[in-house]
Amino acid sequence: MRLNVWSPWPPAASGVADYAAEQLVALSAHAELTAVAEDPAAVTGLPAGVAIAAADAAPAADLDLYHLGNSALHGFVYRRARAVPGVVLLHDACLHHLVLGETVERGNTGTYLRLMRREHGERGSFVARQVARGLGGSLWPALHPLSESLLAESLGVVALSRQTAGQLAARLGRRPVLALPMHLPPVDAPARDAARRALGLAQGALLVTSPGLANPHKRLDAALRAVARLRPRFPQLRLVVAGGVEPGFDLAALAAAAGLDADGLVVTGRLAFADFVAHLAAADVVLALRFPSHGEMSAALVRALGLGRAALVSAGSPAAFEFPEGVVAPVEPGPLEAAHLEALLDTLLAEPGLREAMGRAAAAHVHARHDLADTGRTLAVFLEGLVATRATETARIAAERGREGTRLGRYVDEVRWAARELGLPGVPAAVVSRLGEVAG
Amino acid sequence: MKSVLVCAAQAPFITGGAEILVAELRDNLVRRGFRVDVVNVPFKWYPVSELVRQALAWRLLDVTESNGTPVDLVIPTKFPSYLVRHPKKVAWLFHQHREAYDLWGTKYCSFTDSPEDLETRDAIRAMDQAAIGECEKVYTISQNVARRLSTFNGLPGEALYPPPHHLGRYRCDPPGDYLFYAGRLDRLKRLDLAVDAMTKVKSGAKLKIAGSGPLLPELQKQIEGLGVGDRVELLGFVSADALVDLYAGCRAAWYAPLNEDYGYVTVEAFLSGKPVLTTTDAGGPLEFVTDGETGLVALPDAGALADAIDRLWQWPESRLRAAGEAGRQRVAGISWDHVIDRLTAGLA
Repeated sequence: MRLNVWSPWPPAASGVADYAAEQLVALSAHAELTAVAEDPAAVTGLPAGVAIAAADAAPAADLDLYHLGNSALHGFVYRRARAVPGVVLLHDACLHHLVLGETVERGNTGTYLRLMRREHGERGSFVARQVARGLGGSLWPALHPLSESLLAESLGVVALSRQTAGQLAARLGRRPVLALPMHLPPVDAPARDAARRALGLAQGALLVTSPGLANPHKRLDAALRAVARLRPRFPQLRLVVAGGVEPGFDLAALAAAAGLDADGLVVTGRLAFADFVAHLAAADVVLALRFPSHGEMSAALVRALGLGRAALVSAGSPAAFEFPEGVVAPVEPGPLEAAHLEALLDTLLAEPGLREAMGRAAAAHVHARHDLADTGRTLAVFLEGLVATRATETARIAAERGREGTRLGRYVDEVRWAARELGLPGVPAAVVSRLGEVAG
Repeated sequence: MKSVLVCAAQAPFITGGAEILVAELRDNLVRRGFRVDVVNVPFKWYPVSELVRQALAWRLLDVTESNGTPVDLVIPTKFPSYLVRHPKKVAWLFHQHREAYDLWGTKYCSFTDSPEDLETRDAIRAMDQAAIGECEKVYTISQNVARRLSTFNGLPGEALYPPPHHLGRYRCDPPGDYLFYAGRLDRLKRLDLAVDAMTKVKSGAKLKIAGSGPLLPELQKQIEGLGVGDRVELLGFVSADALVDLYAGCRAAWYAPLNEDYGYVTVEAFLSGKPVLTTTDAGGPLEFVTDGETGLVALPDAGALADAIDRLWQWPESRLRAAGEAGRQRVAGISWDHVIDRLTAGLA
């Protein structure tokens, strides 16, 4: 199988880039690979034997695999996936920000409005008008994933959690959907003591670590409040933000408002990969909270679990569905989030044995189910199955795309979302035929 | 017995002239020996983006038979019921969605000039073109509706006037001291223009307005603000008997809507032997009202209308009666039997 893999690649500041590069190692045993990049000259760190090509010079292949996440880094992948049906590996269930960047921010508001109406009906039209004016906030885009049009016109979809895969399978009808466990990359991680020494963190500290870029979705306001309340009982407790801080997200102000003294908060800034892993290794408890969730699975969480760290996740997020309770502990993201988090942390910090037991269960679970070679094999088998039907499916999708922008296409869209509200994945051909009669 | 299905679109809880007309069509088809039912699909015309989906719902229905019995004829009436699919479709077109046509770009149109609303307008026009075009025959409730269909869609339609609700009960009493209007109080009826005109009349004419509608509070305010409460009376909803009495006792009827589809007021006034005052842009009423013969036709301007009212008040009773009688002759041929004969001609 000749496989073109479209993705941001290292050294791009993206977890998807790292993930995709790691996956190439596993896939190389099953396919002849070409990594397609927006700027091939900038790519580093790909496994030996993998060819690199520019987006406009991708070689002929049996299949295209598109890594898509909800950021502008994926713009060239999105454009290609819309043009040439392939298999989408979805890192975020919600692609709203990506699509917004590809439409409104390029002056094409009409396409954005049309996609929102197609996928979310009258409510989508209303929300789209607000978001296009910059009034959408963060919750509305999260609730309107804007991924369905693309996925419905793909040969297959890979989701990195069972929750997201289940939701997509229900919405996409006949589209093949694979739930692929997020792989655990082979990493030489130091032991906890060594990691702390290397990072200059006190051996006796109790470290609660939130890995990655700090932003409101990671519920750091709740974490700051919980840690502040626990500090009198655990003076050695520190909240470590192992990463940079999103511009405009005033972490210091939130810490002050929570009553957390400067000693209780460590913000590392953006980290080199080895240091990032070391922070996971140094942690006593890892926070992988997400609300609202964009349907993403955290690679840092999988690494932390693989290292045997106790982890807390947001209830309702893909991570909470993916990992059994005991392997992770869910935190309700409602009004009592800080109190719930405080109670869980209180228990975990007070009982080292419990932390260690959770960590052992986590490591066992992840090593058994998230092995890189195994997930690579699973993905390869899925892709091989789609190569056989590629020609017929591409023709069918092309016929549907031919309606896009036409009056009949609009009619079908109008009926499609009404049908979707009833749980029907598509519009029957007989209905399309009837609508065609009045399309002029 | 032939089966006829009348297709109507109704905004739930709103009953107006179209709903009454559908009910009377059904009753008269039954009277003439047909097996009849009415299909009503709820219709919501806002926001504008909803219109296409609302319309398409009609296209997805199968009304060719019911419980194994073929439906021999469907009679769609107004937008979007004519999107219904049937091999024998004879439309009696009350109106299309006028905001996509003659009201486009006027203050009476809720569409904006956004690309989305333009798309909706064009979609409506395309649907109409196809769905009305596939009718075996298209009748309209007036020449005005047929003219719009021809102008905007290039499709032929033949006027088939509907009789008014109280046919057979209208009578003519000696002329009173008031102009009379009966109907829904909405913006397109332009009763605000009537109230403005009443501020300028010199003859002592009065205006009685029967009916209700969304314009009522605005009219009340206008009448109060202009100080014409002694000349303009809002009667609200009136009973059938009172309606017939008010027509019988008026000096003339007022009816100056903007490009009206048809207009029962004209026909009811003529059947009551009364002349009608209308405007040059009134649409349907102009198919019956000839200036100086069956009433007066003025420019849609308060001053011109006030002059016309004063002239009517100068007419002697004999001239009023003659004009009313000439009007009666013009509408004498309007009957339900004629309507049913034409609509079902293909079933013979």
